[in-house]
Amino acid sequence: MKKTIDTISYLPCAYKKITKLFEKKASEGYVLKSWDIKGDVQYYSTSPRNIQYCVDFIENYSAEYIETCAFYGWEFVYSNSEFMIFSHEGTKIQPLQNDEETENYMIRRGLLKNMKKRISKQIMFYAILPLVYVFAPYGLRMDFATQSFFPELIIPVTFLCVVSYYCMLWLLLNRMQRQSNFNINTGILSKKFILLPADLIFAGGFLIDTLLTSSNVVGSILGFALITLFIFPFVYLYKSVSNF
Amino acid sequence: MAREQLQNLSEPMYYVLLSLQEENFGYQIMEDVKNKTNGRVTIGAGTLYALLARFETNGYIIQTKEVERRKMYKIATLGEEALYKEFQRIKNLYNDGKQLEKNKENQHEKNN
Repeated sequence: MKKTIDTISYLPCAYKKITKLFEKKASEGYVLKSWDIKGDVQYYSTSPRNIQYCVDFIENYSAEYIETCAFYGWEFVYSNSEFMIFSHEGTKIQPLQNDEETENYMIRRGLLKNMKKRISKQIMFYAILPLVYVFAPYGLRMDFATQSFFPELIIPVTFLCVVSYYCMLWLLLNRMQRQSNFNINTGILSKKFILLPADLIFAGGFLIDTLLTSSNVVGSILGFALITLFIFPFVYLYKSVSNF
Repeated sequence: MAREQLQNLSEPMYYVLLSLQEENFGYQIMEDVKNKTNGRVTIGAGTLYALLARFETNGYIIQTKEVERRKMYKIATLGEEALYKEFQRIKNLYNDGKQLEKNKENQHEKNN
């Protein structure tokens, strides 16, 4: 029986935590079927089983690789553009990764790839903000008489802030995860570093912008309320990652 | 993309390069390393294929041919240089460590 149980936000550095979660689920009778890049995890229910999992970040894998893994007892479960998942049922066997240096290298690469994707998603997401900035004031009947050049700078500056923030975040995450042997709770990291600051920068930016461009305070507050609507997807994301 | 130069080779890296002195493919390399070290060093499949991809990108090894979906590799000049450099480093470590042995022998003589 197929059943979707969780939504797990994926960060390569949390792979140890993720494999432990899958192993725990298998011992409860929910065996992993797939886990897509959006974070939707599908399990099928069965009797409790002792399954060992491995999240692998190998790039450009081949059929030869899957065959070799199978020969050494690791069955292929699922793959997407960023990672592969293997499992083994029964007694513990030699792990797929047994060289710390290579493992760290692969995690770094995986993290970089993931961060690039996240940044491009953010860029795409915030690309629609200028449209909101342009059309929302008309919708809210704001007064443009006092508009100056300065507010026009707010969008690119905040945009730049968020992009550089994500780059710094990647460096920080990488360093912290390496120091803690890649075992940090990603949910806590996301709460502390990703969600709140980035959204507050944007919500604050919008509030300042509307206050400066409009003499209508009610309109500004409505604008602030409008921008907070953009935060909901992040709140949803936070709730999902805090499952860890 | 600039080629990354590896500072030191880890044990699996060293043995993979050593095994590729002769043309070899994935599974065979793993078995070869196991035999060469009498089972002391075993390389996980994930580690091996990640290393092969990394070495190929760095120009340490080259893919010679593909036989029945199996990619055959051989060490390249750059890889040989890295391997020899690592061998020299280990040799130096060994020579420097000899002092420890002498100290231990002297201490043993004094005690007797």
